[in-house]
Amino acid sequence: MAYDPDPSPRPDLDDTGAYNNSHRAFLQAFLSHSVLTADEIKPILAAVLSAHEGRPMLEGDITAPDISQYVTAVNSRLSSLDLEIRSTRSQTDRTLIYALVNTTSDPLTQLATTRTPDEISYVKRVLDAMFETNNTRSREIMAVSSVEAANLAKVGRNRQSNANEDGEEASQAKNLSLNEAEKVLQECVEEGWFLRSRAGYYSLAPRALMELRALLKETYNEPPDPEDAEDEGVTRIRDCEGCREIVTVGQRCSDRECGCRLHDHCTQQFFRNQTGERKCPKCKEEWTGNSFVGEKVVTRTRPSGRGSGAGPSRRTDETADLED
Amino acid sequence: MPPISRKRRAPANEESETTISFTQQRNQQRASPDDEDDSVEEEQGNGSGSLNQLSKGLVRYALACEYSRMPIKRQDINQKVLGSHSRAFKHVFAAANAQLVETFGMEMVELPNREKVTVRQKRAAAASESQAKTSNQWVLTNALPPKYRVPEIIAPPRIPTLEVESAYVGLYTLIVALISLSGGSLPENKLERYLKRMNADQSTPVDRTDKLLARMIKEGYIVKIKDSSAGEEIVDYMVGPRGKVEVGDDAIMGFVKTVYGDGAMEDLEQRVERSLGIAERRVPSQTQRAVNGNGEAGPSTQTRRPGRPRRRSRSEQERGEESE
Repeated sequence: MAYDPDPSPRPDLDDTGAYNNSHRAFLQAFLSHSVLTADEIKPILAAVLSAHEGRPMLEGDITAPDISQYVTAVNSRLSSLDLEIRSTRSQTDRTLIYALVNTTSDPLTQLATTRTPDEISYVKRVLDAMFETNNTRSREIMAVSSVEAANLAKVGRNRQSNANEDGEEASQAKNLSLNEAEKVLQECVEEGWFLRSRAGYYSLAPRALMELRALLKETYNEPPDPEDAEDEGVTRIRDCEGCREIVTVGQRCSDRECGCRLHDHCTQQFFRNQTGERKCPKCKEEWTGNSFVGEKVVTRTRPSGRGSGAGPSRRTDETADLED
Repeated sequence: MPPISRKRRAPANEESETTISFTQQRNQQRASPDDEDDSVEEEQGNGSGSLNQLSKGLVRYALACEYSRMPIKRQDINQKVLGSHSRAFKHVFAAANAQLVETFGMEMVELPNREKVTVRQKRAAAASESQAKTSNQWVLTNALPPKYRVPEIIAPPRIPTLEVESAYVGLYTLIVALISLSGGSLPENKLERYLKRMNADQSTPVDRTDKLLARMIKEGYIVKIKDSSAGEEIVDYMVGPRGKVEVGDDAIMGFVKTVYGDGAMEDLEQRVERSLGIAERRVPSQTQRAVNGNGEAGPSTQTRRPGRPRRRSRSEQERGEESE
């Protein structure tokens, strides 16, 4: 890299201000990675600072405040472009994860998914399965097994019959072959949108939760109709009582009517200071810790799960609509 | 991620509005009052701030294109970003490019026109005098000083995986370098021989060799020229527009130096410059038959090029024309 025929700095690259080339390089790193854990950022920021200050910096020199300082500076420039570097903690192991996300989803950024409309429509079907079919009052799986995901490769007639305002779109969508569907899923996992568990369940990865946070709630949660007193609305996606992030893997109150959800690690923090038996922070019911959210609903619950009244057959499109 | 434009259980009379206003709502939730939604603005065509909105759209579009290695085309900009404001192209483009440099340290660089090589192409070019002088296609390139372009900061894209993309970057850099060092054009059988020497004539870490070459052609790294004017068909490879901008002379120089390593002869730089015809470039020369450094082109040539080398040496010359 020593060869540089043009070492003169660009006049329009102001390197002296509060926002300088080190910030630009940091942002470029995010563009090429999309998702980074705090530990992955450290060597990158160390390399950026080494280049910027002309003296070697080590990974260990980078502190959490350094990272947030850079993220804040970059975000101040990105906000006018509807882009943002967001951070969240992994729902399972608390790793701090940063991702460059779109704060709007418009047709232009759809292109960034490098997908055909049929593939996008397939991803939508998978999301619907995650948050509707497999997310009922009694079973909040919020994940899709690989078998189910394969079945969704076909545009189901069910889907079309109750598609309403996007009816046209749905009827235009074509079936994917099983191979194509599998490829889309695999790529979504590689790009950090989906997670695939050991048991073969697909769920939303932190990047997707960060980017789609508002969109998911907007799409799957329905506010009560103010003019209809009996309509309570539907809340399919809930936040953790502890950290206020979406819960797709965690625990729920043993009272099915109670809307309290907690991440596994948040329960530890939440109940640490409580003496005696654990109680739901909302309804004061005993917190048993064996009502789950996520694929554990399927993989951990005994078949005689109390009164759920739903066998495995529940997980088909047809029976899912009984729930509504 | 695709937007999910659907809300199944919303009351029927609100349905149609839900989809249409979906992105707008989301914008409005985040946007400050003076930061109007762009689609509204486009319709009203008001002057104030609309340049900002259009330039923001173009910046986002440019990033999306780069993500999928598609050129940024003027036609698409008019269609997808500017809409009815296509006359403002020059202003919007300048504003967007300034924003890209200032925020991301990247800029849009116009791709050179495809060279007219065969007799038929030349005739066709001569016949249509109205043909545009410029290609009206751009790609995003890194404008930061070279010290920031190290693999620790800008890694190859992670999609599908870091390994595959690194290999792809290495392979197209290699092939572009081979073609450039052979005087800008390489007969098919010679390329095959080079690839065979690296055991890459059938398959590569990325894909089968024929598919790999097809991808490079599609993304504009190389161009395949078939000429049957002399009777039998001759197939040559030349460097494509993206290859010229992305893998410039200095990238090739860095690549050759890496391959030669410490054992390089003292005048390696001059030799490569001669092979690339850097000195003669200003004075058009008839033959630039190259002495190329393929003697050592063993497996070690797969040395990975750091990042996606975006060089601007070539673009420097073009910026002058562009800014007119």
